[in-house]
Amino acid sequence: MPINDSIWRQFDPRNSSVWRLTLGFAVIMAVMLALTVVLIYQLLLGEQSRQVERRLAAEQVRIEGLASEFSANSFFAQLEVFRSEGDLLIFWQSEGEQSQQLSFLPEDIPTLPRTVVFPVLDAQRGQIRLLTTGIVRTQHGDIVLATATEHLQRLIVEFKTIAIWACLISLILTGVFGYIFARRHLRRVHYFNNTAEQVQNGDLSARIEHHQKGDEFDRLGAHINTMLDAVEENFALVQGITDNIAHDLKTPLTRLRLNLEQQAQRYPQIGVDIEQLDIIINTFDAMLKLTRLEHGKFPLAMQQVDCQLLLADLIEMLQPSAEQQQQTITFDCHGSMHLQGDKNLLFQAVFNLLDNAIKYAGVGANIVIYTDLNIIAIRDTGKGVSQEQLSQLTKRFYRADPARQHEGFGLGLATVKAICARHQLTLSLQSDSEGFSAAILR
Amino acid sequence: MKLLLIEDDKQNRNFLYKAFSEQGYTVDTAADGQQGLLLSTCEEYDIIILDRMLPKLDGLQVLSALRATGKMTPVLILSALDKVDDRVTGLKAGGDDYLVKPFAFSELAIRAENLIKRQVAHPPLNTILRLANLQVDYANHKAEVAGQVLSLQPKEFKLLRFLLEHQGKLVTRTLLFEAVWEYHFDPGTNVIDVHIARLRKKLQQFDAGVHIETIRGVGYRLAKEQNYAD
Repeated sequence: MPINDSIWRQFDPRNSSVWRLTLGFAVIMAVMLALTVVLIYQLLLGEQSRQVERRLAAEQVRIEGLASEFSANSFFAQLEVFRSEGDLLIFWQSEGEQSQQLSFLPEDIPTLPRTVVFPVLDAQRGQIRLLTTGIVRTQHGDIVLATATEHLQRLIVEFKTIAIWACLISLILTGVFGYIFARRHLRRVHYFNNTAEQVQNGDLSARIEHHQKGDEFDRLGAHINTMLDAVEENFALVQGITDNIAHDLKTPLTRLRLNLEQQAQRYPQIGVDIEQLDIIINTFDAMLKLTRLEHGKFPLAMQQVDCQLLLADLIEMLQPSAEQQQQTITFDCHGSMHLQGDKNLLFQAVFNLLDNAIKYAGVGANIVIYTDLNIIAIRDTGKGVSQEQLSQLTKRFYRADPARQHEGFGLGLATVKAICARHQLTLSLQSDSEGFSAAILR
Repeated sequence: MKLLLIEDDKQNRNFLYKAFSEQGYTVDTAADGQQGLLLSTCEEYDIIILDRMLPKLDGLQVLSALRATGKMTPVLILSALDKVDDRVTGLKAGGDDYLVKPFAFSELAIRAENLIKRQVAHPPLNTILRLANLQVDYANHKAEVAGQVLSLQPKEFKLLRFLLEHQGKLVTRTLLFEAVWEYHFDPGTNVIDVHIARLRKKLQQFDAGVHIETIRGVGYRLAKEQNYAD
């Protein structure tokens, strides 16, 4: 997770595996709920619906039997008896008699066993009733059978409403709780990320806070802390050794340099030796500095840095060197990148880049320094380097010119990279037929 | 001028003793922290040169103890440790300047001199510096050679002013770089050489009668031309 993310993004549960698990769990829950609802529906209401249909089917058989046995008059008389004794509604059309009680009868009632449900106004009771209706076709005419099923229908509607609400609420609850769990979970993971970042930034004393719950996070945290203890101990040991070497080596170097300097006043040719000694000392310092930068042991003097001013100083400083090579430097400024950082280190970074451009682009090259709010790019029209060399450039002591035509230790770009890393900036190097370009990106 | 030198390495101590004495300082020396602290608190010095790593009492402890007694004698710290570490911890402990080993004596001498000057702190009444035909008025940011105005870039002006302020003395590259560009890092010989070459050319063009000498491995010195007659 990038360091400069906002707190919200760091805690955004949508980036969490727990959140994905929750979503998966919600889907499984939804399927299970749907299955349960279907099962309950079939067991309770489906059975009742089928009972109504079976009842109508039985009546159909009975009426068909009656119709084939009796004449029309006795058949209708029999039907009258059925109608009066049962709870079934039976209508027929004879001698223009429109069925009683009903406000209307739809035209397209299907033949039993298929049925249709339709609402009618019950004039006697003054209410709307739902009838499940089908027609029995007999030789004496069509007989309409109907049974009032509004209770059942109402139950079905209510059941559906309740089932939908239940599904929705449980899904929402799963989502909400999943979100909360994911957040809590992330917050604990955040401790780990935080510590990792601190260590990455060089604070080896950072440790993971863990509560005494004894769960898997605490065990992991304890293991990482033990590991960090060991790393810190080793690092302190190495640091002590380097500091001692630095100290032990520098005292004799100081003697040597002071002596040479004194001699140089009488014998000016010794100046060449002092220069050579300075090269050794500078290489040594550059190595120590790079090591300390890479391991986050180099303290940064943080301040607000205006890169436009930095670049103006840089150009002013290196302009004469470029002119010596008949090179032109163009400053293409589209706004200034403002950074919180160590001014001297940042200056060294851009200095190394421009110094390289001047050294390696060749006589008469054009150098363009482009900058806007998010980038500092230094491009030259030199012949660049091959793609294989490009990836090697930021390695210690790597030098692209095998002839070693220019002075230097091959630490310049490695140092730039380390400085960028300490400032959470990216160094990007490119080389093509147009030339070489190095960019520092926010 | 009284100077106290606290340094444990015998050879370096002897060398610095000799070199500072030659410059006209009265030099006392101490070989460890305890002795150094004793001397620095009992005697009055114009400047103390303090090595950071010392036996018995560490350089920073000596410094804190000294400051705790209320003595504000300027202290220049010498150190084999990293530059930035020193700037932060050394200056925080009450040091006035620092120099990383190995250093050039000429640089140490100029830094010590600057610290003493700062302590005495009398603002110069005269803002015009002269050498041979060259006249630099740094209040008005103007450099002239026999009435003719030298056109100088701002950094060139600063460079010339610094050299002129330390005329006749050896000035090291790092000192120039810090004073003129105000960045703490060593850009290598070439960059400053090129700027010096430019400045030198301008001075010659106008026949200023001064010369910037390059002393290889050490630094630069601004002086009257040998054949210049007053």
